[in-house]
Amino acid sequence: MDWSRTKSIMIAILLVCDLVLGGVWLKERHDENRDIAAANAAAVSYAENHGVSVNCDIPSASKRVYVLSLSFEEGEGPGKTEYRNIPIEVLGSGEREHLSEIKKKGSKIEVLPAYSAVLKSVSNRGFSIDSIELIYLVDRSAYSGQGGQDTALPYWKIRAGSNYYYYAAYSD
Amino acid sequence: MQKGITEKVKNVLLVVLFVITILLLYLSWNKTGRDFSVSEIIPFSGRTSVYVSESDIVLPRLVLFTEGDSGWSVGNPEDKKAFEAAKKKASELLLETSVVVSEISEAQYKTVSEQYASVRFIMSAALPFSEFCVNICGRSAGISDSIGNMQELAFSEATKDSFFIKTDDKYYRILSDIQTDALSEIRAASDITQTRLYSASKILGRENDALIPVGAAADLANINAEIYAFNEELLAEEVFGDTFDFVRKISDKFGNTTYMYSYGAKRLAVSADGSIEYKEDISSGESGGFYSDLETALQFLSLTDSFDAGALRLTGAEELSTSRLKGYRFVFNQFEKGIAVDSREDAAVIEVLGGKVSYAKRSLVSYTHAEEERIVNDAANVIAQNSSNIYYLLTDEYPEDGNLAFNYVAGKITSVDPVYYFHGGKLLLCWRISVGERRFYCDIETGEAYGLV
Amino acid sequence: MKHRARIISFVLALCMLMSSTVFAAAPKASIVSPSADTVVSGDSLLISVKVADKNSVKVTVFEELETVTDAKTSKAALISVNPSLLTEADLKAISSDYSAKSDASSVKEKETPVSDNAAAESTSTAAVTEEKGESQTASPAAIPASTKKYVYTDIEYTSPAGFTASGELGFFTKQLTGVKPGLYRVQVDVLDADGKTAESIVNFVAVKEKPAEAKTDIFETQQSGAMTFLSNLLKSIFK
Repeated sequence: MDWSRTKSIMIAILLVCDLVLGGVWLKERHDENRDIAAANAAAVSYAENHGVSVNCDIPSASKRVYVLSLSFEEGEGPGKTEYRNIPIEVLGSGEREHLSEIKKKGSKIEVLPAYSAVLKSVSNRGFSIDSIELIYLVDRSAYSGQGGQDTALPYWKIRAGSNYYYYAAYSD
Repeated sequence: MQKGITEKVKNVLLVVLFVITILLLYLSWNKTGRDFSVSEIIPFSGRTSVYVSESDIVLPRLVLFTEGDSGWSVGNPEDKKAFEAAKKKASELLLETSVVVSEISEAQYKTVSEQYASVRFIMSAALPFSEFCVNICGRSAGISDSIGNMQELAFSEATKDSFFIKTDDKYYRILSDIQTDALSEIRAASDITQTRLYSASKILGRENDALIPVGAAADLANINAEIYAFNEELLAEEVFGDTFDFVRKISDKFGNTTYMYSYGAKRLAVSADGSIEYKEDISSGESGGFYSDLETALQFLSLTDSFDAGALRLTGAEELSTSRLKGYRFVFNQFEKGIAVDSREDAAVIEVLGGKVSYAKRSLVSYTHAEEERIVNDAANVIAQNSSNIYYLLTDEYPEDGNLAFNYVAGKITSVDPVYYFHGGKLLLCWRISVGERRFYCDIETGEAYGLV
Repeated sequence: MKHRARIISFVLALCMLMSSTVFAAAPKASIVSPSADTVVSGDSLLISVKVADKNSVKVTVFEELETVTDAKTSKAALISVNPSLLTEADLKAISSDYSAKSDASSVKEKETPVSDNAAAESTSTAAVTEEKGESQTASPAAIPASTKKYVYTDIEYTSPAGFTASGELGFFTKQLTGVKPGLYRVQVDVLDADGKTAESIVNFVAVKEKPAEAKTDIFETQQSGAMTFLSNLLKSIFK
């Protein structure tokens, strides 16, 4: 058997496959980004028509993230503050406990696009959106100081002046 | 040499292109929104759901046979065939073209059930009679919902064309137009024990219809036991289903864990001692009726990994109603060898509203090994031994003398049953002496008082 | 003097009578079931004895058998008493008769010699007593208590059952099954510290077969099916 010729044919086939797959993938990415950009623009327009001004760029990249399992220890400590460049925000904890360990939980979940948070914020008339970012949020108000484990889910955090608003970034 | 280099380049290209192909395929797969994992291709489940059917759980508390001689023989509490036979005979009578339901007096009911050979099924939980009829014979047979909940079902030698029921406050005769030897067939299907029951009037000498056992089942022993600790993660996965990825899990340093979905709209709390509590806000839905709601409750009960839910029996049922929803509240308790297991809490309480489980609480006991067999002391003797204590606990007064205390208690007793009392890490064989809602647990052999509920 | 002696005797007798009632001790044991001098139906018998103050008792059930002489062979046999011939009044008389005999002699002297005319067929502990002047043949009519013959027979225990109350009050209960129709005597002997019988309490009970005929009038006052339907309909309309 002429292995050299066989290898050449396989290289040609794989090359064609990769080009097709790569092309399809790139096109999908392009279409997705275009759709998100269009949706973002429509959301900004809708928000401004309802008295909410948007003074920042709305993140357009789609993402999939893990839900996090967090471990807290009582007392002050150097606590972790982010996971894979996504900030972790712990509400109601104060200095009575600190975040000691982060583990991913289950499989990745789809993150809702940022414009969904903009649309939900329309109910607050008269304010302006100064920034919007993806964070992990956990509310420890009812449990703070006791230590233990908790779960952090992705949220869109919107800053409007000195106020902050949190909207779930997942759809169940 | 040129050829050698060419071949090497080809080899490298092949590998690189192959890897790129795999990568592009992975990215395409990921794009569909699913994580690629082996378990998705090869399904694997490390858990088993044990499904329990209604006929295993809706059973009588007591099956009593009499020859009309003012004493009662007791059917084996583990035996289900007697009740199956009774349902079959009732069904035969109901399926006739002409069925008449008439109210009778308490005196008439007592006559047919006490002065003639008869069998009485005293239910653990009262069942809506019209739905019971549909359940056993497939149609309502003209039985009205207004009849209420069946607490007792009886067949008597006095009439072979009827059966009788006792509801919360009334008695009924269901008359058919055929004759059937129900009593003989039920007796033939039953396993009748040596235990006999007599009224407190006959045994204790005080006016009281409550039944007291003479001679309890043998081969019984205390059992070492503990709260059943199941795999809470698996239970939570089954309870929350597809939404489990979005469930918040909170654990404290004491070992208690709470699973919360959608800001508490669905919430599962697992205590360190193994008991669980589940709540869900239900805003809409329709109740399918007693048996349909019971089926829903049983499916929830079956959400365990390996616990034998067949050891549970329905011991209470009441209708629930909110402004928009209807349903039932079911209470279940554990039974071992047909004997009730009593602890501080019911084994399981499940509320079904709008056809969905809105509340569930469960605290189960698992058994490890049995100790030596106990010798059963007469129930009457144990009552006499503890009558002064029981008198004090009921009245907050010390009795002037033992006879006074005994006469008072003997006149107030509502039932006496052998039970397992979960106390101190063991299932202790006890006589449970009930006075209304109050329960006194006394060791079945020594008569020592363990507790009052 | 004579008059004074009579008065003193009368006062003494009165005092003794009153002291026996005023200072009478609470019963050490009593038979709750079967009730005294009753007739029961069926083939089971419940024995329930209430024992007070850590007393010890011995419970025995005897069957009362009567002697019947065959007119042809002149042989005597012991048979169960026919309970259908007994009423509660008969049982009261039997009980009184027994009490009188017990008062007249001690418990041990109750076993009198077997009569020459009677063929003694009995269990190992049986003994026959015979009233003087009585008929040898059992009459089908209710036999007056004074002419009754009794044979004492053990119940189906391996031995008479002993019981000691562990506290202020205790109960001895026993279920007898397969009891044949007849006349039975439940005897509770209260034992003293030496294990000897200090006093005996006795109840007589006649056990009859359960009547086979069914009563048919339980539901005679019941309305017919059509009337019940109509009345239920009217009730629902005018509710």
